[in-house]
Amino acid sequence: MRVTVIGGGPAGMAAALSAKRAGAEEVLLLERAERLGGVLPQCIHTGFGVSYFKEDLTGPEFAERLERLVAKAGVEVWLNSIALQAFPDRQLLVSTRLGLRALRPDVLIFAVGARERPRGAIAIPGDRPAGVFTAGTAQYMTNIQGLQVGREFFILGSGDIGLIMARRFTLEGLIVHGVAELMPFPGGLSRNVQQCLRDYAIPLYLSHTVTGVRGKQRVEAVTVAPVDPNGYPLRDQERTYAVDSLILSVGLLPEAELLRQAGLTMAPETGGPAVDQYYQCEREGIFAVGNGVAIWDLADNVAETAEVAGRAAVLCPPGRGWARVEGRGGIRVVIPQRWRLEDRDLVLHFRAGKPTIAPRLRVTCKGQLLARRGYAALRPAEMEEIRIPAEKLAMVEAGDLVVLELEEGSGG
Amino acid sequence: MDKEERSGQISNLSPGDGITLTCITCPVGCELEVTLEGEGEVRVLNNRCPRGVDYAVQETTAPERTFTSTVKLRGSSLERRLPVRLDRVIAKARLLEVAEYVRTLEAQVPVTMGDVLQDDLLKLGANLVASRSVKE
Ligand SMILES: Cc1cc2nc3c(=O)[nH]c(=O)nc-3n(C[C@H](O)[C@H](O)[C@H](O)COP(=O)(O)OP(=O)(O)OC[C@H]3O[C@@H](n4cnc5c(N)ncnc54)[C@H](O)[C@@H]3O)c2cc1C
Ligand code: SF4
Repeated sequence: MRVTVIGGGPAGMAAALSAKRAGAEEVLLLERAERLGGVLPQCIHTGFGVSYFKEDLTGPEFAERLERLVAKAGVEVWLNSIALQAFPDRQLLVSTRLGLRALRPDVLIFAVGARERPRGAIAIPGDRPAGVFTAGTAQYMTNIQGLQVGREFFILGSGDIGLIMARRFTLEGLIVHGVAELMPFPGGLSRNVQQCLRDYAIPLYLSHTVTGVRGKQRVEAVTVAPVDPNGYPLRDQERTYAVDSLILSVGLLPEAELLRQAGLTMAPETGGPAVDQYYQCEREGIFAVGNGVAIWDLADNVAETAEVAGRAAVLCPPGRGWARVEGRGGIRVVIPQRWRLEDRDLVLHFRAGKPTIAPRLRVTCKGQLLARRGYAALRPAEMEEIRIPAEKLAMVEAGDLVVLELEEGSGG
Repeated sequence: MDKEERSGQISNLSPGDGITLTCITCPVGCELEVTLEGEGEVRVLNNRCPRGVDYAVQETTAPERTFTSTVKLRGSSLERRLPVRLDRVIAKARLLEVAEYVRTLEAQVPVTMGDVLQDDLLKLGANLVASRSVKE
Protein backbone atom coordinates (compact mmCIF):
# COMPACT_ATOMS: atom_id res chain seq x y z
CA MET A 1 0.00 0.00 0.00
CA ARG A 2 1.20 3.49 -0.87
CA VAL A 3 0.31 6.35 1.45
CA THR A 4 1.11 9.98 0.64
CA VAL A 5 0.92 12.63 3.34
CA ILE A 6 0.82 16.31 2.36
CA GLY A 7 2.34 18.61 4.98
CA GLY A 8 5.25 17.95 7.33
CA GLY A 9 3.97 19.58 10.52
CA PRO A 10 3.18 17.55 13.66
CA ALA A 11 -0.01 16.23 12.05
CA GLY A 12 1.71 15.02 8.88
CA MET A 13 4.68 13.52 10.72
CA ALA A 14 2.48 11.66 13.22
CA ALA A 15 0.18 10.37 10.47
CA ALA A 16 3.09 9.19 8.31
CA LEU A 17 4.73 7.53 11.29
CA SER A 18 1.64 5.58 12.34
CA ALA A 19 0.82 4.56 8.74
CA LYS A 20 4.32 3.14 8.43
CA ARG A 21 4.08 1.40 11.80
CA ALA A 22 0.69 -0.05 10.82
CA GLY A 23 2.37 -1.78 7.89
CA ALA A 24 2.10 0.48 4.83
CA GLU A 25 4.94 -0.47 2.44
CA GLU A 26 5.54 3.01 1.06
CA VAL A 27 4.86 6.19 2.98
CA LEU A 28 5.80 9.50 1.35
CA LEU A 29 5.76 12.78 3.29
CA LEU A 30 5.63 16.00 1.25
CA GLU A 31 6.65 19.35 2.73
CA ARG A 32 6.83 22.59 0.81
CA ALA A 33 9.28 24.25 3.22
CA GLU A 34 12.96 23.42 3.54
CA ARG A 35 12.45 21.90 6.98
CA LEU A 36 9.93 19.63 8.66
CA GLY A 37 7.93 20.81 11.65
CA GLY A 38 5.24 23.10 10.24
CA VAL A 39 4.71 26.03 12.59
CA LEU A 40 6.56 24.34 15.46
CA PRO A 41 10.10 25.63 14.72
CA GLN A 42 8.87 29.20 15.25
CA CYS A 43 7.00 28.32 18.48
CA ILE A 44 10.10 28.51 20.66
CA HIS A 45 8.12 28.58 23.93
CA THR A 46 7.36 25.51 26.04
CA GLY A 47 3.96 23.86 26.42
CA PHE A 48 4.29 21.14 23.81
CA GLY A 49 4.48 17.39 24.34
CA VAL A 50 3.07 17.17 27.87
CA SER A 51 0.69 14.45 26.78
CA TYR A 52 2.36 13.01 23.63
CA PHE A 53 5.96 12.79 24.93
CA LYS A 54 5.17 13.14 28.66
CA GLU A 55 7.57 16.07 28.80
CA ASP A 56 7.19 19.83 28.61
CA LEU A 57 8.97 20.68 25.37
CA THR A 58 9.47 23.72 23.15
CA GLY A 59 7.98 23.63 19.64
CA PRO A 60 11.37 22.95 17.97
CA GLU A 61 12.08 20.12 20.42
CA PHE A 62 8.66 18.55 19.81
CA ALA A 63 9.26 18.75 16.05
CA GLU A 64 12.74 17.27 16.23
CA ARG A 65 11.59 14.36 18.42
CA LEU A 66 8.93 13.50 15.85
CA GLU A 67 11.34 14.04 12.98
CA ARG A 68 13.75 11.48 14.44
CA LEU A 69 10.96 8.90 14.80
CA VAL A 70 9.86 9.56 11.21
CA ALA A 71 13.39 9.03 9.89
CA LYS A 72 13.87 5.88 11.95
CA ALA A 73 10.59 4.34 10.76
CA GLY A 74 11.66 4.61 7.12
CA VAL A 75 9.23 7.26 5.91
CA GLU A 76 10.38 8.86 2.65
CA VAL A 77 10.53 12.64 3.02
CA TRP A 78 10.52 15.15 0.15
CA LEU A 79 11.34 18.69 1.29
CA ASN A 80 10.84 21.76 -0.92
CA SER A 81 7.96 19.85 -2.49
CA ILE A 82 4.61 21.50 -2.81
CA ALA A 83 1.41 19.72 -3.73
CA LEU A 84 0.06 22.07 -6.40
CA GLN A 85 -3.14 20.32 -7.29
CA ALA A 86 -5.23 17.45 -5.95
CA PHE A 87 -7.99 15.53 -7.73
CA PRO A 88 -10.98 13.60 -6.37
CA ASP A 89 -9.44 10.31 -7.55
CA ARG A 90 -6.37 10.98 -5.32
CA GLN A 91 -4.14 12.12 -8.16
CA LEU A 92 -1.66 14.68 -7.05
CA LEU A 93 0.55 17.12 -8.90
CA VAL A 94 3.71 17.92 -6.96
CA SER A 95 6.36 20.52 -7.72
CA THR A 96 9.78 19.32 -6.54
CA ARG A 97 13.35 20.44 -6.99
CA LEU A 98 13.63 17.85 -9.74
CA GLY A 99 10.58 19.15 -11.56
CA LEU A 100 6.88 18.31 -11.63
CA ARG A 101 5.77 14.87 -10.51
CA ALA A 102 2.36 13.19 -10.75
CA LEU A 103 1.39 10.70 -8.03
CA ARG A 104 -1.63 8.52 -7.38
CA PRO A 105 -1.34 6.92 -3.94
CA ASP A 106 -3.82 4.41 -2.49
CA VAL A 107 -4.38 6.72 0.45
CA LEU A 108 -3.99 10.49 0.55
CA ILE A 109 -3.68 12.25 3.91
CA PHE A 110 -4.02 16.03 4.03
CA ALA A 111 -2.04 17.56 6.88
CA VAL A 112 -1.79 21.04 5.43
CA GLY A 113 -2.32 23.07 8.59
CA ALA A 114 -4.00 26.45 8.91
CA ARG A 115 -3.43 29.98 7.74
CA GLU A 116 -4.02 33.18 9.63
CA ARG A 117 -7.27 34.92 8.89
CA PRO A 118 -6.58 37.48 6.19
CA ARG A 119 -6.53 41.10 7.22
CA GLY A 120 -9.32 42.05 4.82
CA ALA A 121 -11.69 40.05 6.98
CA ILE A 122 -11.25 42.61 9.73
CA ALA A 123 -11.89 45.97 8.26
CA ILE A 124 -9.95 48.56 10.23
CA PRO A 125 -10.57 52.06 8.95
CA GLY A 126 -7.65 54.40 8.35
CA ASP A 127 -4.38 54.47 6.46
CA ARG A 128 -2.46 51.44 5.31
CA PRO A 129 1.06 52.22 6.48
CA ALA A 130 3.79 49.63 7.03
CA GLY A 131 3.91 48.12 10.50
CA VAL A 132 0.75 46.00 10.52
CA PHE A 133 1.58 42.30 10.92
CA THR A 134 -0.26 39.11 11.64
CA ALA A 135 0.97 37.48 14.84
CA GLY A 136 2.29 34.41 13.02
CA THR A 137 4.32 36.52 10.60
CA ALA A 138 5.72 38.55 13.49
CA GLN A 139 6.65 35.29 15.20
CA TYR A 140 8.36 33.96 12.07
CA MET A 141 10.28 37.22 11.58
CA THR A 142 11.42 37.30 15.21
CA ASN A 143 12.23 33.64 15.86
CA ILE A 144 13.30 32.30 12.45
CA GLN A 145 14.57 35.32 10.54
CA GLY A 146 15.93 37.23 13.52
CA LEU A 147 14.41 40.52 12.36
CA GLN A 148 13.13 43.27 14.61
CA VAL A 149 9.44 43.72 13.87
CA GLY A 150 9.05 47.06 15.66
CA ARG A 151 9.64 48.86 18.98
CA GLU A 152 6.24 49.73 20.40
CA PHE A 153 3.27 47.45 19.86
CA PHE A 154 -0.46 47.22 20.21
CA ILE A 155 -2.09 43.82 19.69
CA LEU A 156 -5.59 43.25 18.32
CA GLY A 157 -7.07 39.90 19.29
CA SER A 158 -6.23 37.70 22.25
CA GLY A 159 -5.52 34.46 20.39
CA ASP A 160 -2.62 32.40 21.73
CA ILE A 161 -0.13 33.52 19.10
CA GLY A 162 -0.69 37.18 19.98
CA LEU A 163 -0.34 36.47 23.71
CA ILE A 164 2.86 34.52 23.17
CA MET A 165 4.26 37.36 21.06
CA ALA A 166 3.34 39.96 23.70
CA ARG A 167 5.65 38.13 26.12
CA ARG A 168 8.31 37.57 23.50
CA PHE A 169 8.45 41.29 22.60
CA THR A 170 8.54 42.28 26.28
CA LEU A 171 11.44 39.94 27.02
CA GLU A 172 13.25 41.43 24.02
CA GLY A 173 13.07 44.80 25.76
CA LEU A 174 10.30 46.14 23.50
CA ILE A 175 7.07 47.71 24.70
CA VAL A 176 3.60 46.22 24.39
CA HIS A 177 0.97 48.83 25.23
CA GLY A 178 -1.97 46.48 25.40
CA VAL A 179 -4.14 43.80 23.86
CA ALA A 180 -7.70 44.50 22.68
CA GLU A 181 -10.23 41.69 22.40
CA LEU A 182 -13.60 42.23 20.74
CA MET A 183 -15.29 39.48 22.74
CA PRO A 184 -15.98 39.75 26.49
CA PHE A 185 -13.61 36.81 27.10
CA PRO A 186 -10.06 36.01 25.98
CA GLY A 187 -9.49 34.00 22.81
CA GLY A 188 -6.38 32.20 24.04
CA LEU A 189 -5.74 29.72 26.85
CA SER A 190 -5.98 31.09 30.40
CA ARG A 191 -2.42 30.00 31.14
CA ASN A 192 -1.22 32.26 28.33
CA VAL A 193 -3.23 35.20 29.66
CA GLN A 194 -1.45 34.62 32.98
CA GLN A 195 2.12 33.94 31.90
CA CYS A 196 2.22 36.24 28.85
CA LEU A 197 0.17 39.27 29.95
CA ARG A 198 -0.42 39.36 33.73
CA ASP A 199 3.17 38.36 34.49
CA TYR A 200 4.33 41.53 32.73
CA ALA A 201 1.40 43.77 33.66
CA ILE A 202 0.32 44.10 30.02
CA PRO A 203 -3.31 45.28 30.00
CA LEU A 204 -5.98 43.12 28.32
CA TYR A 205 -8.96 45.17 27.19
CA LEU A 206 -11.94 42.86 26.76
CA SER A 207 -14.88 44.07 24.63
CA HIS A 208 -12.56 46.53 22.88
CA THR A 209 -11.40 46.93 19.32
CA VAL A 210 -8.98 48.93 17.21
CA THR A 211 -10.95 51.67 15.51
CA GLY A 212 -8.22 53.22 13.41
CA VAL A 213 -4.61 53.09 12.26
CA ARG A 214 -2.67 56.30 11.66
CA GLY A 215 0.65 56.96 9.94
CA LYS A 216 2.07 57.82 6.54
CA GLN A 217 4.90 55.41 5.76
CA ARG A 218 4.92 53.59 9.08
CA VAL A 219 2.26 53.16 11.75
CA GLU A 220 2.40 56.12 14.15
CA ALA A 221 -0.65 55.46 16.31
CA VAL A 222 -3.72 53.30 16.72
CA THR A 223 -7.04 54.24 18.28
CA VAL A 224 -8.86 51.79 20.52
CA ALA A 225 -12.42 51.92 21.85
CA PRO A 226 -14.76 49.76 23.90
CA VAL A 227 -17.63 48.13 22.02
CA ASP A 228 -21.29 47.92 22.99
CA PRO A 229 -22.99 44.50 23.34
CA ASN A 230 -23.62 44.47 19.57
CA GLY A 231 -19.95 44.98 18.82
CA TYR A 232 -20.21 48.65 17.76
CA PRO A 233 -17.31 50.84 18.95
CA LEU A 234 -18.16 53.63 21.38
CA ARG A 235 -16.25 56.41 19.62
CA ASP A 236 -16.56 58.92 22.46
CA GLN A 237 -14.45 56.63 24.65
CA GLU A 238 -11.69 56.22 22.07
CA ARG A 239 -8.10 56.26 23.26
CA THR A 240 -4.93 56.74 21.21
CA TYR A 241 -1.74 54.71 21.60
CA ALA A 242 1.49 55.91 20.01
CA VAL A 243 2.94 52.69 18.57
CA ASP A 244 4.90 51.77 15.46
CA SER A 245 3.35 48.33 15.03
CA LEU A 246 -0.06 46.72 15.18
CA ILE A 247 -0.16 42.95 15.58
CA LEU A 248 -3.27 41.09 14.46
CA SER A 249 -3.96 37.90 16.35
CA VAL A 250 -7.40 37.10 15.10
CA GLY A 251 -7.27 33.38 14.69
CA LEU A 252 -6.55 30.63 12.21
CA LEU A 253 -8.57 28.99 9.46
CA PRO A 254 -7.87 25.55 7.99
CA GLU A 255 -6.02 25.70 4.69
CA ALA A 256 -8.86 24.57 2.42
CA GLU A 257 -7.81 25.21 -1.17
CA LEU A 258 -6.26 21.84 -1.96
CA LEU A 259 -9.04 19.93 -0.23
CA ARG A 260 -11.66 21.72 -2.30
CA GLN A 261 -9.82 20.64 -5.45
CA ALA A 262 -10.05 17.08 -4.22
CA GLY A 263 -13.82 17.47 -4.30
CA LEU A 264 -14.40 17.94 -0.57
CA THR A 265 -16.84 20.46 0.86
CA MET A 266 -15.86 22.49 3.92
CA ALA A 267 -17.96 22.47 7.09
CA PRO A 268 -18.96 26.07 7.92
CA GLU A 269 -18.29 25.72 11.69
CA THR A 270 -14.70 24.53 11.32
CA GLY A 271 -13.68 25.78 7.88
CA GLY A 272 -12.27 22.29 7.27
CA PRO A 273 -13.67 19.15 5.65
CA ALA A 274 -16.18 16.93 7.46
CA VAL A 275 -14.44 13.84 8.85
CA ASP A 276 -15.42 10.62 10.60
CA GLN A 277 -13.81 9.31 13.80
CA TYR A 278 -10.86 8.02 11.74
CA TYR A 279 -10.47 11.40 10.05
CA GLN A 280 -11.59 10.00 6.72
CA CYS A 281 -13.32 12.60 4.57
CA GLU A 282 -16.44 12.04 2.53
CA ARG A 283 -14.31 10.39 -0.17
CA GLU A 284 -12.89 6.92 0.29
CA GLY A 285 -9.12 6.89 0.78
CA ILE A 286 -8.85 10.61 1.55
CA PHE A 287 -8.08 11.66 5.11
CA ALA A 288 -7.53 15.04 6.73
CA VAL A 289 -5.73 15.68 10.01
CA GLY A 290 -4.41 18.45 12.26
CA ASN A 291 -5.21 22.12 11.88
CA GLY A 292 -6.34 21.42 8.32
CA VAL A 293 -9.48 19.82 9.82
CA ALA A 294 -10.22 22.17 12.68
CA ILE A 295 -8.09 24.38 14.91
CA TRP A 296 -6.83 22.31 17.83
CA ASP A 297 -5.30 24.06 20.83
CA LEU A 298 -2.33 21.80 21.19
CA ALA A 299 0.20 20.09 18.98
CA ASP A 300 -0.31 17.08 21.26
CA ASN A 301 -3.97 16.75 20.23
CA VAL A 302 -2.91 17.19 16.64
CA ALA A 303 -0.32 14.41 16.80
CA GLU A 304 -2.57 12.02 18.72
CA THR A 305 -5.53 12.40 16.38
CA ALA A 306 -3.29 12.21 13.30
CA GLU A 307 -1.96 8.89 14.57
CA VAL A 308 -5.49 7.53 14.63
CA ALA A 309 -5.86 8.53 10.97
CA GLY A 310 -2.52 7.06 9.88
CA ARG A 311 -3.35 3.71 11.43
CA ALA A 312 -6.91 3.64 10.03
CA ALA A 313 -5.63 4.58 6.57
CA VAL A 314 -3.81 1.25 6.49
CA LEU A 315 -6.01 -1.02 8.58
CA CYS A 316 -9.27 0.55 7.29
CA PRO A 317 -11.97 -1.12 9.41
CA PRO A 318 -14.93 -2.07 7.20
CA GLY A 319 -17.79 0.43 7.48
CA ARG A 320 -21.50 -0.33 7.99
CA GLY A 321 -22.47 3.19 6.99
CA TRP A 322 -22.33 6.56 8.69
CA ALA A 323 -24.46 8.64 11.05
CA ARG A 324 -24.21 12.43 11.22
CA VAL A 325 -23.03 14.25 14.34
CA GLU A 326 -24.10 17.81 15.08
CA GLY A 327 -23.48 20.38 17.82
CA ARG A 328 -26.35 22.61 18.91
CA GLY A 329 -27.30 25.20 21.50
CA GLY A 330 -23.99 26.59 22.69
CA ILE A 331 -21.74 23.99 21.04
CA ARG A 332 -19.79 25.51 18.19
CA VAL A 333 -17.46 22.84 16.84
CA VAL A 334 -17.76 19.06 16.90
CA ILE A 335 -15.20 16.61 15.54
CA PRO A 336 -16.01 14.16 13.99
CA GLN A 337 -19.05 15.33 12.05
CA ARG A 338 -19.71 11.77 10.83
CA TRP A 339 -19.64 8.55 12.80
CA ARG A 340 -18.68 5.37 10.99
CA LEU A 341 -20.89 2.73 12.63
CA GLU A 342 -18.83 0.28 14.69
CA ASP A 343 -18.80 -1.47 18.06
CA ARG A 344 -16.49 0.89 19.90
CA ASP A 345 -16.70 3.89 22.18
CA LEU A 346 -16.86 7.22 20.40
CA VAL A 347 -15.00 10.30 21.63
CA LEU A 348 -16.42 13.61 20.44
CA HIS A 349 -14.15 16.68 20.51
CA PHE A 350 -16.03 19.94 20.84
CA ARG A 351 -15.75 23.63 21.57
CA ALA A 352 -18.30 25.80 23.40
CA GLY A 353 -19.52 29.01 21.75
CA LYS A 354 -19.14 31.10 24.90
CA PRO A 355 -17.79 30.65 28.44
CA THR A 356 -20.24 28.60 30.50
CA ILE A 357 -19.98 27.77 34.20
CA ALA A 358 -21.05 24.32 35.44
CA PRO A 359 -22.75 23.14 32.24
CA ARG A 360 -24.14 19.66 31.68
CA LEU A 361 -23.74 18.24 28.25
CA ARG A 362 -25.85 15.54 26.67
CA VAL A 363 -25.62 13.46 23.55
CA THR A 364 -28.85 12.09 22.09
CA CYS A 365 -30.07 10.21 19.06
CA LYS A 366 -33.71 9.78 18.08
CA GLY A 367 -34.72 11.16 21.45
CA GLN A 368 -32.63 8.65 23.41
CA LEU A 369 -29.85 9.63 25.77
CA LEU A 370 -26.41 8.29 24.75
CA ALA A 371 -24.19 10.16 27.20
CA ARG A 372 -24.29 12.95 29.75
CA ARG A 373 -21.49 14.73 31.52
CA GLY A 374 -21.01 17.79 33.72
CA TYR A 375 -18.06 20.18 33.44
CA ALA A 376 -16.68 22.67 35.95
CA ALA A 377 -16.57 25.19 33.11
CA LEU A 378 -16.41 25.33 29.32
CA ARG A 379 -14.34 27.95 27.57
CA PRO A 380 -14.32 28.67 23.82
CA ALA A 381 -10.50 28.68 23.86
CA GLU A 382 -10.41 25.04 24.88
CA MET A 383 -11.32 21.93 22.94
CA GLU A 384 -13.10 19.49 25.27
CA GLU A 385 -14.24 15.92 24.85
CA ILE A 386 -17.04 13.55 25.80
CA ARG A 387 -17.02 9.76 25.50
CA ILE A 388 -20.03 7.72 24.39
CA PRO A 389 -19.91 4.05 25.37
CA ALA A 390 -20.23 1.45 22.61
CA GLU A 391 -23.29 -0.22 24.18
CA LYS A 392 -25.23 3.06 24.01
CA LEU A 393 -24.27 3.53 20.38
CA ALA A 394 -25.69 0.15 19.36
CA MET A 395 -29.08 1.73 18.62
CA VAL A 396 -27.67 4.26 16.12
CA GLU A 397 -28.25 3.36 12.47
CA ALA A 398 -26.83 4.63 9.21
CA GLY A 399 -28.31 8.02 8.30
CA ASP A 400 -29.28 8.87 11.90
CA LEU A 401 -28.44 12.19 13.53
CA VAL A 402 -26.48 12.28 16.80
CA VAL A 403 -26.88 15.60 18.63
CA LEU A 404 -24.52 17.14 21.18
CA GLU A 405 -25.98 20.01 23.21
CA LEU A 406 -25.94 21.85 26.51
CA GLU A 407 -28.78 20.77 28.77
CA GLU A 408 -31.37 23.39 29.39
CA GLY A 409 -31.14 25.05 32.77
CA SER A 410 -27.51 24.02 33.21
CA GLY A 411 -24.59 26.40 32.92
CA GLY A 412 -24.64 30.17 33.28
CA MET B 1 17.48 38.43 46.63
CA ASP B 2 15.02 39.20 49.39
CA LYS B 3 11.69 37.47 49.73
CA GLU B 4 9.71 40.62 49.07
CA GLU B 5 10.95 40.90 45.51
CA ARG B 6 10.62 37.21 44.67
CA SER B 7 7.05 36.88 45.73
CA GLY B 8 5.91 40.09 44.07
CA GLN B 9 2.38 41.33 44.72
CA ILE B 10 1.29 38.13 46.41
CA SER B 11 3.60 38.75 49.38
CA ASN B 12 1.15 41.34 50.72
CA LEU B 13 -1.30 38.59 51.57
CA SER B 14 -1.80 37.54 55.13
CA PRO B 15 -3.28 34.30 56.46
CA GLY B 16 -6.98 33.95 55.68
CA ASP B 17 -6.74 35.97 52.48
CA GLY B 18 -8.12 34.34 49.34
CA ILE B 19 -6.96 34.82 45.77
CA THR B 20 -7.60 33.30 42.37
CA LEU B 21 -4.59 31.96 40.50
CA THR B 22 -4.45 30.50 37.00
CA CYS B 23 -2.43 27.31 37.19
CA ILE B 24 0.04 27.38 34.31
CA THR B 25 1.50 23.93 34.92
CA CYS B 26 -0.41 22.38 32.05
CA PRO B 27 -2.66 23.64 29.23
CA VAL B 28 -5.89 22.94 31.16
CA GLY B 29 -5.29 26.18 33.06
CA CYS B 30 -7.40 25.61 36.19
CA GLU B 31 -8.59 28.75 37.97
CA LEU B 32 -7.41 27.92 41.47
CA GLU B 33 -9.19 29.37 44.50
CA VAL B 34 -6.35 29.75 46.97
CA THR B 35 -6.67 30.61 50.64
CA LEU B 36 -3.57 31.30 52.70
CA GLU B 37 -3.58 29.28 55.90
CA GLY B 38 -0.17 30.27 57.24
CA GLU B 39 3.51 30.38 56.28
CA GLY B 40 3.76 28.47 52.98
CA GLU B 41 0.50 26.67 53.68
CA VAL B 42 -2.46 27.04 51.37
CA ARG B 43 -5.89 25.56 50.82
CA VAL B 44 -6.67 25.05 47.15
CA LEU B 45 -10.01 24.54 45.39
CA ASN B 46 -10.80 23.96 41.70
CA ASN B 47 -7.59 22.12 40.85
CA ARG B 48 -8.14 19.16 38.56
CA CYS B 49 -4.95 17.42 39.68
CA PRO B 50 -2.53 17.49 42.63
CA ARG B 51 0.04 19.55 40.72
CA GLY B 52 -2.27 22.52 41.15
CA VAL B 53 -1.53 22.53 44.89
CA ASP B 54 2.23 22.52 44.30
CA TYR B 55 1.79 25.38 41.88
CA ALA B 56 -0.27 27.41 44.38
CA VAL B 57 2.36 26.94 47.10
CA GLN B 58 5.18 27.91 44.75
CA GLU B 59 3.33 30.85 43.25
CA THR B 60 2.43 32.34 46.63
CA THR B 61 5.96 31.97 48.01
CA ALA B 62 8.51 32.12 45.18
CA PRO B 63 7.00 32.16 41.68
CA GLU B 64 9.00 30.40 38.97
CA ARG B 65 8.86 30.36 35.17
CA THR B 66 10.54 28.65 32.26
CA PHE B 67 12.67 30.78 29.96
CA THR B 68 13.04 30.42 26.18
CA SER B 69 14.53 32.66 23.52
CA THR B 70 16.70 32.56 20.40
CA VAL B 71 20.35 33.44 19.83
CA LYS B 72 22.25 34.39 16.70
CA LEU B 73 23.51 31.30 14.87
CA ARG B 74 26.78 31.44 12.91
CA GLY B 75 27.88 29.22 10.06
CA SER B 76 24.55 27.81 8.87
CA SER B 77 23.42 28.08 5.27
CA LEU B 78 19.76 27.64 6.27
CA GLU B 79 19.16 29.03 9.76
CA ARG B 80 19.96 32.45 11.21
CA ARG B 81 18.61 31.90 14.73
CA LEU B 82 18.93 29.04 17.17
CA PRO B 83 16.05 28.50 19.61
CA VAL B 84 17.30 28.05 23.18
CA ARG B 85 15.84 27.31 26.61
CA LEU B 86 16.87 27.05 30.21
CA ASP B 87 16.78 23.43 31.36
CA ARG B 88 14.92 24.28 34.57
CA VAL B 89 12.58 26.94 35.90
CA ILE B 90 14.02 30.10 37.45
CA ALA B 91 12.66 32.84 39.67
CA LYS B 92 10.09 34.85 37.75
CA ALA B 93 11.68 38.09 38.91
CA ARG B 94 14.92 37.27 37.04
CA LEU B 95 13.36 36.75 33.58
CA LEU B 96 14.04 40.19 32.11
CA GLU B 97 17.62 40.20 33.30
CA VAL B 98 18.18 36.73 31.82
CA ALA B 99 16.60 37.79 28.52
CA GLU B 100 18.88 40.80 28.32
CA TYR B 101 21.96 38.67 28.91
CA VAL B 102 20.92 35.93 26.45
CA ARG B 103 20.55 38.59 23.73
CA THR B 104 24.32 39.02 23.80
CA LEU B 105 25.07 35.34 23.16
CA GLU B 106 25.79 33.52 19.89
CA ALA B 107 26.07 29.90 18.82
CA GLN B 108 28.00 28.15 16.07
CA VAL B 109 27.00 25.17 13.89
CA PRO B 110 26.99 22.24 14.22
CA VAL B 111 24.61 22.21 17.20
CA THR B 112 22.63 19.27 18.55
CA MET B 113 19.38 19.57 20.47
CA GLY B 114 20.22 19.48 24.18
CA ASP B 115 23.76 20.86 23.78
CA VAL B 116 24.65 23.05 26.75
CA LEU B 117 25.55 26.49 25.37
CA GLN B 118 26.24 27.98 28.77
CA ASP B 119 26.19 26.22 32.11
CA ASP B 120 24.85 27.76 35.30
CA LEU B 121 23.67 30.86 33.49
CA LEU B 122 24.09 33.97 35.68
CA LYS B 123 24.60 31.57 38.61
CA LEU B 124 20.90 30.68 38.54
CA GLY B 125 21.57 26.96 38.66
CA ALA B 126 20.09 26.42 35.19
CA ASN B 127 21.87 25.68 31.91
CA LEU B 128 21.12 27.30 28.59
CA VAL B 129 20.56 24.52 26.03
CA ALA B 130 19.83 24.33 22.31
CA SER B 131 16.18 23.54 21.48
CA ARG B 132 17.03 22.09 18.09
CA SER B 133 19.83 20.63 15.99
CA VAL B 134 21.35 22.50 13.09
CA LYS B 135 24.02 20.48 11.34
CA GLU B 136 25.17 22.84 8.61
C1 LIG C 1 2.05 30.77 17.80
C2 LIG C 1 1.54 29.41 18.11
C3 LIG C 1 1.64 28.97 19.40
C4 LIG C 1 1.24 27.68 19.73
N1 LIG C 1 1.41 27.26 21.02
C5 LIG C 1 1.18 25.96 21.32
C6 LIG C 1 1.51 25.44 22.63
O1 LIG C 1 1.97 26.14 23.52
N2 LIG C 1 1.31 24.13 22.86
C7 LIG C 1 0.82 23.32 21.88
O2 LIG C 1 0.70 22.11 22.13
N3 LIG C 1 0.46 23.79 20.67
C8 LIG C 1 0.64 25.09 20.35
N4 LIG C 1 0.32 25.57 19.10
C9 LIG C 1 -0.42 24.72 18.18
C10 LIG C 1 0.40 23.83 17.31
O3 LIG C 1 1.57 24.44 16.89
C11 LIG C 1 -0.44 23.48 16.12
O4 LIG C 1 -1.62 22.91 16.62
C12 LIG C 1 0.22 22.45 15.21
O5 LIG C 1 1.46 22.92 14.76
C13 LIG C 1 -0.66 22.14 14.02
O6 LIG C 1 -0.04 21.14 13.27
P1 LIG C 1 -0.36 20.82 11.76
O7 LIG C 1 0.61 19.77 11.36
O8 LIG C 1 -1.79 20.56 11.60
O9 LIG C 1 -0.08 22.17 10.96
P2 LIG C 1 1.26 22.97 10.66
O10 LIG C 1 2.18 22.91 11.78
O11 LIG C 1 0.81 24.29 10.17
O12 LIG C 1 1.92 22.16 9.44
C14 LIG C 1 1.36 22.14 8.14
C15 LIG C 1 2.48 21.88 7.16
O13 LIG C 1 1.95 21.59 5.88
C16 LIG C 1 2.75 22.19 4.89
N5 LIG C 1 1.93 22.37 3.68
C17 LIG C 1 0.77 23.06 3.56
N6 LIG C 1 0.30 22.99 2.30
C18 LIG C 1 1.18 22.23 1.60
C19 LIG C 1 1.24 21.79 0.25
N7 LIG C 1 0.31 22.14 -0.63
N8 LIG C 1 2.29 21.01 -0.12
C20 LIG C 1 3.25 20.67 0.77
N9 LIG C 1 3.24 21.05 2.07
C21 LIG C 1 2.22 21.82 2.47
C22 LIG C 1 3.17 23.50 5.53
O14 LIG C 1 4.33 24.01 4.93
C23 LIG C 1 3.40 23.07 6.99
O15 LIG C 1 4.72 22.67 7.20
C24 LIG C 1 0.69 26.85 18.74
C25 LIG C 1 0.56 27.32 17.44
C26 LIG C 1 0.97 28.57 17.09
C27 LIG C 1 0.85 29.04 15.67
S1 SF4 D 1 -4.25 21.88 38.46
FE1 SF4 D 1 -3.46 20.13 37.28
S2 SF4 D 1 -4.91 19.98 35.56
FE2 SF4 D 1 -5.21 22.02 36.44
S3 SF4 D 1 -3.84 23.37 35.21
FE3 SF4 D 1 -2.70 22.71 37.05
S4 SF4 D 1 -1.55 20.93 36.36
FE4 SF4 D 1 -3.18 21.24 34.86
